[in-house]
Parts: sequence; C-alpha cells; structure tokens
Amino acid sequence: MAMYDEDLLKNPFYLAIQKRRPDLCSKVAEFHGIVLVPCRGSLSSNILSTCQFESYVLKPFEENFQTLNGKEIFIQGNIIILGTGFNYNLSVPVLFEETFYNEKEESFSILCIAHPLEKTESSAESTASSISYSLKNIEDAREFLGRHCERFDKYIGSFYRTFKEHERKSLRHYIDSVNALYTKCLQHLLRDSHLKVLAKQEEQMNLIKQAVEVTKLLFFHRCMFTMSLQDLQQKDIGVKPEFSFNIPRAKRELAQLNKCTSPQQKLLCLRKVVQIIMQSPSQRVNMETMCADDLLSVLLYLLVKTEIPNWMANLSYIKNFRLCSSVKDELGYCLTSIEAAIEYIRQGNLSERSTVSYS
Amino acid sequence: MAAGSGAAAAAGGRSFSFKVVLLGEGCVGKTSLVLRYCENKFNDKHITTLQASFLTKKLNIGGKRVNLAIWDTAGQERFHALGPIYYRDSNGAILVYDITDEDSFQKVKNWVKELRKMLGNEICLCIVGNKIDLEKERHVSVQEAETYAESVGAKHYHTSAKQNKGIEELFLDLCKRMIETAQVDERARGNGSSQSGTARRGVQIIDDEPQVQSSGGCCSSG
Repeated sequence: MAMYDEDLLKNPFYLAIQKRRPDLCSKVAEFHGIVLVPCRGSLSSNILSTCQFESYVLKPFEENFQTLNGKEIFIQGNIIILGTGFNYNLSVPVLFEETFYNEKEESFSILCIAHPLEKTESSAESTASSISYSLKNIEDAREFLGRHCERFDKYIGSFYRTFKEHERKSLRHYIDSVNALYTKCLQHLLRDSHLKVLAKQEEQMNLIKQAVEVTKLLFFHRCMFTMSLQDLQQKDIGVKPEFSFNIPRAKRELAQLNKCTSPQQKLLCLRKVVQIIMQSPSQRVNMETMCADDLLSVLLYLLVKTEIPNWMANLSYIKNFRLCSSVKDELGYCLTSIEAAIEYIRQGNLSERSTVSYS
Repeated sequence: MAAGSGAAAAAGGRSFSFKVVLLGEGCVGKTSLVLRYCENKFNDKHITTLQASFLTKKLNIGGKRVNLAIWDTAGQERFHALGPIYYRDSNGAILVYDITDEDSFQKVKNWVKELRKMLGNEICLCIVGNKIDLEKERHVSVQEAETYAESVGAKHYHTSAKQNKGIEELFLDLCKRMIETAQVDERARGNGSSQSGTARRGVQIIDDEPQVQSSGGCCSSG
C-alpha cells in the first residue's frame, strides 16, 4: 500500500527514449533486458537532453548487469549500484518494477528508479528511498487538509448531533450515514481544483477518526472465546514448528489492535502482524516458503491466544467503514486471512479435545 | 485511486487491477509456480520475501497497465469451507494439479464447481497441469484434462515450475483474458452507469478533467 507508482507510458524519460532511440527499445525486448527509467519527479529538461540512454538499458552479464555502452551495474535488493565504467559512485533506489510486453509479445522489465544516474550538484542520494504517501495520524490529516478542516469540523459536528438523535438504529443505518458524510466531505474537497489531484489518497483519515468516536458506540461486544481454548497447543492447531519463531512478537503486535481507532489503523496493525509472522528469523536460516495454509494456522493460534474479546466487532468495523482502499491489495489480503481464521473458529472447528496433526 | 472492480479503473488511464486466486492441493507446486513468476529476476540472490501467500506484479500489455494481485488460498481439507471468503471479487483463478497425481486433478474439479457457483462466468479460469518435467510418471492424460477444461469454459496450460516452463505464457494469457472480460463488462454496463454487484460500496472519484500529475507524487494504491 502507498507504494510509489506512476504511469510509465507518460514518463518523459520513457517517451524520450522511445522517440529518440527506438533501436534501444526493440533491442531490450529481444534479449529480455531491463530499462531504467527515473521517476518523473526527478527529471529536468537538462537531463533529458544530456543523458546517455545506453547507460539506462541493461543486459544480464555474468552475475550482474551491463549497460549497452559497456558499463557495469549491480542490483542489490532494491538498490542500483554503479560499477566499473562509471567514473563516480552512486546508488539509486528502485521504486517499482513493471513488466512490459511489446506488440510482438516480447517482454522486458522497466525499473522505475528514484533519480537519474547522472551525477548532479543537488545531492542525488537524498530523499526518494522511503517515499510514502500515507497519512498516519490525525495531525497529518489535518495538516494535509489545511483550510478545509474547518468546514469538515462543521460537517462532522452536525453529523454528530443528528447521530445522537438516532441512537440504536441498525448497523446499516450507521454505515449509510457515515458514507454520506464521507461523500459530502469529499465533494467539498473536490471543488478545490488544486486538491483534486491529491484527493484520491487517504485524506479521509481525519473523518474516519472522528467518525470513530461516534460510531464505536454501536458495536455489540461479543465474546468469541468463551470456550477453554487457551490450553490449545501450536501443534493442535497445525502450526508448523518452523513458523513458531515469530509468534511472540506477532502476539505483542496484535495486542495493540484495540488501541487503534480508525479502520485504516486497525488494518495497518493487522498487516504488521502478518508481516512479522512471515519474517525469516535471520538471513542465513532458510525458512520454508509460507503459503496461505501456514499463515492461517498461525493466525488461528494467535486469535485464540490473544485476549481480544471483540473480534467480530473489529472485523465488522473494518469491513464496513473502510472507505478508501481497494479490496484487492495487501491490506485486503490480510483482512481476508483474519476473517477466514475468525470464521473457522466461529464455526466451532477448534475444540479442546480435537487434536489434529497437519504436517 | 479508488478503483472498485477491475473494469472501473479503466475509465482514467487504461489501468486495471485484477485479483487472481490460486488453488491447489499442498504438494502440486502452486507456490513454486507463483514465486517463479513474481520473484524478481534481478533479485534472485537476495530473496527478501519468503512468503508466497500474497504476491503482486505490475504488467504493461500493449499500453494497458495491469496490477496483478495473486492470492494463495487455504487448500487443506479442514479449511475447505473458508474458500468463499478468499474468492470474493476475484477476476481470475488458477487451479493447479500435479500431472502425476490423479487425486489432485479431482480436487481441481471440485473447485471449478465451487467457483462457477459463486462467481458465475465473470471469472476467468485456468487449469494448470504442473510438473511436466515428470512426464514419464504422468497419471492425468492430456486429453482428459483438456476436454474437461473446455467443458467448463476454462483454459488448460502445462507448466513446470522446476524448469520455468509455460509460466509466463500462462499469466500473460490470463491477463489478456481478464482485460477482455473487464472491457466487455464495461461496455455492457455503459459508461458512467452504476457499478455492478461485484463492485464494493464506497466512493468512486471520477475525473471530469484530464488528470494533471503533480511532480513526484501521484496517487497510488497497493
């Protein structure tokens, strides 16, 4: 989520290389090579007119890569490092990779990089490595919204007043009214043409967070784990021993869930849990690849062992009041995995005595 | 951007986001298959991810951008009832069996029924016979598999994750089919009309002006 992205077909550098050096473009597809394309924000007309396009087209060479003008390039993790042939040292972060298919269905990769390979006066090593566009808390959101905040507070204030009058209506009613509020605020924002472009991001944190204060009243607290499941062992649930290493840390992270107020924060917390579960204990240990079955087993164990009484409420809250992000992204996957684990327990598949072994 | 269904995103910049679910028994090699495909070629020696449960890949097919999210699904028998939680909103499904294991092919048939029941004809199905490097031990005949696939409106592919055969073709073909489905769907609905049932509730922001990108930061979603 919130990774850097841009449409490379509109990138001035890519357009320039296509126009001026079509030969390079067809060549790279022939040997399934890589084209480095600096992100659009890093480009100046100066660079476009002076850079050597050959330096940006890579071909596998022994263990590393070679540019078409014979210089050496290393790719380590997500960093491009210049080697022999360049007369200066530079490393450039890779922002994302996209696989292109040309009309002949030959494929090549484009690595969008944080800035050009040419040495410039403005220290090139700077910013771009950790580009992040998410607003993490209410202060960020307010700052982002700027002068619109006041109007939003008004909307939310009146929402809150009507909300109080409508206590104890159905969940559906609350969902609809929060949606209506959200739409109203967005429409207000979109009248500001400058903000329009930016508006597609996560500015609604502010709204959601305030809406939370109101909406959290409405959730039934339902205890899922009245059974004596606490005695269950990892192997009873089918957790493979090699994946138990991260469980204590994941458990600590998951315990934070009820401290998060907005759906987005809760989701980020769940994603952190999933990421911790999947972390390899060290560079040298060759952990087995983790698939959905493995993840689900660990989540089942965590759910049972973490004392969070209101799983259903959390799930319902996140699902119904998550207004911005796509259901298909990584956060969506984390949520789905948790939902599957909750559903499994809810159906009564875990009981004290059912000792199972799944290897 | 706030893209709902895959097709919805196409209104702006010819860009699609597709969810593909991966189904198959534990030992058929489905995780090796997706890792082969998504693992960065340039990154072979620095594998940072050891998980194969959620993987993404960006493609650009003839100018159409595709954000592919590949979701592994729980395949153990005890988790069977959870399938539908994973399938929701999928644009495609890859059902993998092991050509040396008749049983794994039967499982694929069960999943096909379930997917069709839940998602109808909207979903593009791929049935994949993996491990063709073990051709000598084949227990599922090519003809049986292909006839079955055709009978359920799926396409059949042969792959070897071990030898990296057939995998790129499989995904490219699937993406092209999903693009086509999304475009047909879009045309059927007509531009600007309301979203179909698969689209999630929420706010859709539709530009009425050409998009102007600010330098450096443009909007993004997973």
